[in-house]
Amino acid sequence: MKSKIIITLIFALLLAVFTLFNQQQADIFFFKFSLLKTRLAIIVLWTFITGAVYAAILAIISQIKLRTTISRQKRLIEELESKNGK
Amino acid sequence: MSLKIITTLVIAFLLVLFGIFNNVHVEVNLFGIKNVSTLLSFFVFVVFLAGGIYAGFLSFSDQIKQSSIIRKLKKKIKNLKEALKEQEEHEQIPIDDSEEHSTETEGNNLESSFNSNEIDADLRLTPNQRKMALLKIKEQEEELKKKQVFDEK
Repeated sequence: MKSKIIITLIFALLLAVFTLFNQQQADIFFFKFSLLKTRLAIIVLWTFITGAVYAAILAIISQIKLRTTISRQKRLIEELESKNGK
Repeated sequence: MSLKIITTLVIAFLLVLFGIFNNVHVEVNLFGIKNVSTLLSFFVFVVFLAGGIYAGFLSFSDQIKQSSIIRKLKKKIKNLKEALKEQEEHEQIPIDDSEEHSTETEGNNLESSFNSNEIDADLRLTPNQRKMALLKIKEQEEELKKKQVFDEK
């Protein structure tokens, strides 16, 4: 839990400093039209969040798999223990 | 697996679209040390990767924990299987001529139930473990014989 907090703090600090240094305007285009005129910092924040969400989805999928493996193994252990008990 | 591939493809498609339509250069200040002029799409990709790395770091510790739990459980399953096999082989040993038939049928029943078990192939006994189990069984046999002799006396 501590390591998670430390990693989060480090990334948050880096992101905050980076966004403070990049306050200039940037245009986001879609085809030839300017879709959004915003600060580079906002783009950085949204992109970072999108990347984190994407990685989190992948991590959640693999964690679900691991948890099902654990529960299957626990069931097997119970079965084997009951057989041993007989 | 397919869900992972789909999400990766969707994200890659969005990033490519973004890269195609945002072919402009931006000045990026690297923590006040240096100003770098780079493509907006490349910059966005790098920041996206940074976000991914952050979430990856967070989930990494959980994955390590769970895989260690799985390893422990596998070890436990292996031990239990060994014990079960020992028990099965012990029950198959004929103690008396009259009991020979009954023990054989019991053993067969156990074997069939054991085979029907959903134990993975990679959890089977190694030759060394088999030897150890056989030695234990022999010891138990000897103890049983001693007990029988004692009872007869």
